[in-house]
Amino acid sequence: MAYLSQSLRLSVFARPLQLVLALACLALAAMGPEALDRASKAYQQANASYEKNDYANAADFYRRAIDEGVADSKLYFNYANCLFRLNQAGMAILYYEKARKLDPNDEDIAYNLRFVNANIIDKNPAPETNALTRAILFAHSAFSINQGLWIVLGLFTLIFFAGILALYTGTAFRGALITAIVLAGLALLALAPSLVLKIKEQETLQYGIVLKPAVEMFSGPGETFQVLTQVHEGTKFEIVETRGDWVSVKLANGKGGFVRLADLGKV
Amino acid sequence: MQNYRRGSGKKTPCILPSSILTFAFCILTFAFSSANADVSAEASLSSSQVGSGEPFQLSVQVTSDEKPDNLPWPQVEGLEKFTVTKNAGQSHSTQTTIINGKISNRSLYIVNYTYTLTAQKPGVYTLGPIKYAYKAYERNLGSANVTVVKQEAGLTSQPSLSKRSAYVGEQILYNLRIVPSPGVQQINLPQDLQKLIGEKFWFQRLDKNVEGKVVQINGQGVKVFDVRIVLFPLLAGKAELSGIPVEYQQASRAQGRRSGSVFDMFDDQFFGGAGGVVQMTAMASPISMQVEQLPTGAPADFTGAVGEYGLSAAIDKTTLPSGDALTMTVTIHGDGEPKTITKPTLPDLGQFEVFDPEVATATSVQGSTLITTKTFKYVMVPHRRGDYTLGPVAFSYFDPARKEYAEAKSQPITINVTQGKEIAASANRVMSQREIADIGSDIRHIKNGSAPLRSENDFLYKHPWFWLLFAPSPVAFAMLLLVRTRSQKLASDATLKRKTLAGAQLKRRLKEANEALKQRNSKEFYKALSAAVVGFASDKLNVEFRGLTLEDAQAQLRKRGITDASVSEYEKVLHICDFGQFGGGTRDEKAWKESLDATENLLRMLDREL
Repeated sequence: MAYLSQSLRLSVFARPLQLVLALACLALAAMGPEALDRASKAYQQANASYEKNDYANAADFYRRAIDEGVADSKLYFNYANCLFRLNQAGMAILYYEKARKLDPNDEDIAYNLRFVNANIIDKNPAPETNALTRAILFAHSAFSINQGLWIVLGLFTLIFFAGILALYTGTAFRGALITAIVLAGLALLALAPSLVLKIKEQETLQYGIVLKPAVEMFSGPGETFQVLTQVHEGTKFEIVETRGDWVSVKLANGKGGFVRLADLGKV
Repeated sequence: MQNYRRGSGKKTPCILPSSILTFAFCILTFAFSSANADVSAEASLSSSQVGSGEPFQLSVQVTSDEKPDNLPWPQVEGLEKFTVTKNAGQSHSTQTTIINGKISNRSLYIVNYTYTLTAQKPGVYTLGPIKYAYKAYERNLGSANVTVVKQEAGLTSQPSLSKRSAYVGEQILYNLRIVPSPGVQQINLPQDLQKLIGEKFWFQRLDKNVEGKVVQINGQGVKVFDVRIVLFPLLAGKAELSGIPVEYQQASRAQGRRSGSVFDMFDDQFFGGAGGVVQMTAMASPISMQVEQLPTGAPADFTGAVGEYGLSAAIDKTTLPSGDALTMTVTIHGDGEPKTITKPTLPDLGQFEVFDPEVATATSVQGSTLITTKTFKYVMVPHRRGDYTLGPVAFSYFDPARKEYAEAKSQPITINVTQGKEIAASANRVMSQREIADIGSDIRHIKNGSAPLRSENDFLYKHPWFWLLFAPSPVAFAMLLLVRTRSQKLASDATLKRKTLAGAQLKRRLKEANEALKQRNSKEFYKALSAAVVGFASDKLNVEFRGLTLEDAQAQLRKRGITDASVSEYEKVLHICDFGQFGGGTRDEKAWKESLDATENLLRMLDREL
């Protein structure tokens, strides 16, 4: 009888978990297992070619893996390394940026991106910020969107789980549980705005990298407008809007203008 | 010579003998009186005939009894054909007059407006009308013709660059070749060359004194002066060197101008005739070049040196006891910008204390190249005995000839350190720890682990199932909270608890009746039916019906508002049950089912009405 009731309790909790896992598997399987398998094989071949310093061949295999629709930070990082070895600094920066977008905490990505940026012609530093702003930006970039969402879900669930325990436990644990609820609530309040901002950035903000050796920036969407400046391969823009074959862009220092869409790679 | 004088409104043109006038100037004079002040103005020309490129002056002297702060410049037409430099000066005097014993003083202010004019092309030019306007009045001071005769330039200046395309920081020779004609007496270069060369270059003159030399031009030996300046471009892009003016003095008045006129006679008297000297300016033409940015991929220790460099290193002793000092002298020389030679990269000197070097810089000229030699003297103290081979000392630079970054290295140095004073890490030594130095730099290697690929751009917030995961915890909490509240309420109210649980009790009893029906146990079946009816009424009304007579039970039911039809049905069902239990009942299954249906019908009626 005791065994029966225990089984019953387990099944009560197991069913939603099974459902969630099934849904998650469905979502991940959306790309298709065959495509993932082909991408993985190409990735392994690319890595082997890279180790033999055969960068052209490696780049070809990495490209095939990416064409299968896989957006993996490791794949982007390795491909960017390959492009750098092939003296394609603009494309390398583009893929380092793509990799960083997927995994903002990876030190290798951040290091290589700094390294390549230090060797391009244009210096395009962001405006100086104070220590507080830097700390906030660091915290903001410390986790990816999916990581943040899992943390939020965990904290949310923790709050209610602790609430349930507080209902059915004695007064001895109630204080500790309420403390846990308050702390989890505060963490949730701190995290939620950053996450909302990240999702908004993901949906609205777009960056571009100059892929040609030198690109002229015009004051309007056409060559008849005045040339404002010349930017070089690897320079990063914020894309404000796209108008046909031209994009309105903004540099880190706030200067803006129009460049040809074909001269950019979108991060 | 023409001369006009007008004073205080007297408009009387006059022609004065030239001998009365100062020098051979053609003077135009005009004086007038304004409404509130006495003003007179005179215009004069230093010469009516000049050579091309030879400067001359047009002067307008204004005398006023008012302070000259507000006096305007004259209006002169015809200046656009000349190169003009304007200048103004003023002076002050007091005029004292005694009339019939009455003394009066009058202050006069004199302002000289001078236009220095130069015409490059021969011809006759008209200067004027020259007007002077002050307050309500405007006066015409007249006009004059100036004849410019062709005059061979006293010298020519030809600029040249050793290269028309160079890298940022690369040395380029700018040579200004001056070819003077006979009669040129003194040549001056402008003092502020930086202003002329601009901010796009760092420069240095190769020669302090420019010595003349004879070169062959068109088969003839010609004396020339080469002004050599080395330039180091600072910025990439097109760089233009503006023309450099070369001032010189030349014996004046070509023979062709000696017309025998009175002006020339006067001129000869003043300047000493054909031996007069005039100040001339020859302008070197501008010259441009293209400056290229240095390519990417500079080594980490590259500090901007561009050119050809060499490095040598030497020590003053090859054998010494530990604890003694030796001096390593590193000499770097090259033709790049002097400031770009910085400290070299030293090899690993972990077994030595190394002190900050003493630095000396010297420059020299080799041919037409500026060579900078920088010497770094490092004092080093070996810690322990042993044979040490010091790796090469290195200096990174960009070689424009090979178009690549290069490194000047010294030969390895061998040092034999014998037993001496062993040096422990001592606190009182003046030595700073070194940072771990980077020898090279590169990107980090690819990620080659076993982690499988996964699609990381599949954001969770786009999936509804993820948001559904937020629902269970608050729902569970709400339900458990509801259950807990209800349990507490039932625990504190027995009536409510009994009423609430009436349905469950009824189900249990009807289930027992069904079991008895399946077992065809008539007694138990009707007993269960009776218990269900009586128990349900008791639970719902919170009155114990068991033990009550039928009449009392009916009275209780009516008291609680149960309809007569239901009460009658209650009586009927209980009779059936009693008959079934105690009167032997029937074996007819159909009758049992009818009894069960009647009971269920009664219970539904009671449930509705209670």
